[in-house]
Amino acid sequence: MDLATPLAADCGALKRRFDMTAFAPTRGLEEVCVGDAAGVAAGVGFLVARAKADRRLVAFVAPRHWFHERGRPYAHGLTGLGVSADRLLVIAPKTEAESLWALEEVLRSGAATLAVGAVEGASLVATRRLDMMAREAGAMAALVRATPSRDLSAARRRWRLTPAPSAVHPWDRRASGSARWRAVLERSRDGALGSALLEFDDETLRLHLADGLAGDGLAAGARAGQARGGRPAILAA
Amino acid sequence: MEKTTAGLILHALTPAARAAGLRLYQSHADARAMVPALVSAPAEPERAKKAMRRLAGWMERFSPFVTLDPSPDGLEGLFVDLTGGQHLFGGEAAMVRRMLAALERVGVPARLGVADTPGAAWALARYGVERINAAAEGEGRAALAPLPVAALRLSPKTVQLLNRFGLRTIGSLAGLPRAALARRFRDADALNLLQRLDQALGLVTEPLIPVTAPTDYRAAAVFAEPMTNPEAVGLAAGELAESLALSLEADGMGARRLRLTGYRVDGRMTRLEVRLASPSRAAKHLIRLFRDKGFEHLDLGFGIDALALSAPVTESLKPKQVSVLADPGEVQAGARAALVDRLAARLGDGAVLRPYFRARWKPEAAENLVAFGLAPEPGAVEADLGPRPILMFDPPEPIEAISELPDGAPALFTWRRTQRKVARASGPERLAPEWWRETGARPPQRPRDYYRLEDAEGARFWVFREGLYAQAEGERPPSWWMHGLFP
Repeated sequence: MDLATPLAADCGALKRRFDMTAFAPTRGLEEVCVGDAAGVAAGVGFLVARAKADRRLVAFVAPRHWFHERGRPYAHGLTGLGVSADRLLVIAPKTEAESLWALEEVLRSGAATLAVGAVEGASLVATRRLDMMAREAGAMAALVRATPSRDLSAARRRWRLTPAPSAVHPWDRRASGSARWRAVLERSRDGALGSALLEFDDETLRLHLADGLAGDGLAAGARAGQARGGRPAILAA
Repeated sequence: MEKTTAGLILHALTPAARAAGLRLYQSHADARAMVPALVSAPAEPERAKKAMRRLAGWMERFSPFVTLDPSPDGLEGLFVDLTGGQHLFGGEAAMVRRMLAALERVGVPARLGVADTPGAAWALARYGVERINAAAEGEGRAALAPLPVAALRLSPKTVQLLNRFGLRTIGSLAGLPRAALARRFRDADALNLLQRLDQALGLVTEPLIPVTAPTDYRAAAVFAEPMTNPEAVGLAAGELAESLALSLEADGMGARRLRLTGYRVDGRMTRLEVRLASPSRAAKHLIRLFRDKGFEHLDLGFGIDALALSAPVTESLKPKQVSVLADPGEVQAGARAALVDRLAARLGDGAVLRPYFRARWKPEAAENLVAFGLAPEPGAVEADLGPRPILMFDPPEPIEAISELPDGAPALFTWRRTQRKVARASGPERLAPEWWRETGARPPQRPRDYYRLEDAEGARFWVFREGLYAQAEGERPPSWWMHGLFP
């Protein structure tokens, strides 16, 4: 009986470690908080890069004015994140209520693998419904927000995404290299919290870690291996 | 009354004015002399035309083939093709009586003529004795004989000339040798006269262009009592959808567009239309689209007494073998089409979009967002393009930029009132107007130099400079624009 307690605690620690599995596509609702107007692209890029590479749709749902203010999804660029143009669906209703309805429909239909919504005023009930439908359809739903909601949310996770200076360009020191983001998991129902610097490899279309994980992150050895030029920890997207 | 080169003339008359002896096209001054208390109003041909169109649509409750009479103003009329539909109303005579009653109920004074040809029907409606003048099949010639020649839709000049020759009735005209007739009228009038005569007698066919393109797939129901409840309309529409689905299935077709038309008792109609992303003939799906859109959007007014469901646009839809091992791709395509239909039905076509590529030099024109159901599936992106953003500002937003070199990348820029220092930059990628496509745009389109910038925080932007520094005389100086964001 005395042995059981530390063992259980260790298992818990193991299970709750914040590592690359945290970035695997999930089923259910997530929330992504982005900073200013320029940060929206980081949030959207982070979500699309994590979308499953199946044939299902990637849907963007937001009130019409959002696309005018924040920019409309551009397939030429999104292809670079691994989502081909024929998988894109953009839904631009007039109001937030209609956007929530459309998000639910998209998830309910089972035709989408990722539904990105930009709805600021989603209630607890609305987020809970979205989470339930996403889990049933085996899809990832995400609400992109400029500010963290003060209301309660049923989202399984809350990320804070900010762009980070990009990797060194292999041929041109003055140009931007691979995109990097600082991803902070601020809240999670089923795993450890943490922060990581992510890099998107536009050749393998995969995310990997650009530096170690904060909190209970990867073991130091793994970090050292990466620094020596070994294979970085790769997430199978 | 209407203003013409000859002064004011009478354009349309009320029954009272007709009784007072006034005539159509009479000059207003003459009319005033005859009836000093004449009340007249300016003619509104546009409004009259619109009302006629509306009435034509409403008359589709009797037949899907309704044509506006192209006769000049003041002689407005409609042609309704009764062929094949009489039995639905208990025979031709009963149908025409019903038509007159329906028109009367909505306050449209009408005269009806029924004949084998549009020309004869026109003549009978306008010059017949009764309010309904029907010529039995094959008796058009006999019925027309006593009518005046004006009933042949001739110009007033021709009518005058014929009268001068003593040819007052169609019967006397039809009896003459054609060659002699043609000789008397040398110009276009002769041709017109013979053509009108032949059209009335059925010797040549007269093509009619219906106001609504007829569709092969249409289901309609007429109700004994006017319906005012949207839910009841929904139920009736459900039954129509079943029968429409059957006729679509018989031909192996699926609907791409559906139109539900309610014919109101007050002589107007109300419509609800949905589009489908891919052809379908599943009655349940079809009716669900209307339900999502909302039957309450049908303006039922005082009730509708006829309802029609038609599929104006159809596409062939081959029945598919149902496999035990369902192909996931096909299941996906089905779910996708159903989703898009439902979204478009509720939110409108303009709200459900997908990218559409075109060969244009401007990035915002090269890729547009268009209605999902109407656009073809986009192909692959051109591979050898420079970097492209994932979010695009359309239209581009003006920014203030300062660059170290006149035609280099900016070192500092202000976008949405935030000043950003550029840490890294690459470019330019020059995009130039298509010189072979003369757009005639004023001022002429200027080439753009695109740069990819990264600020100190790592945010990545796509900006461009419109215009070159080596500008021609009198040209605007180059300007900077924010066009998109990279992840």
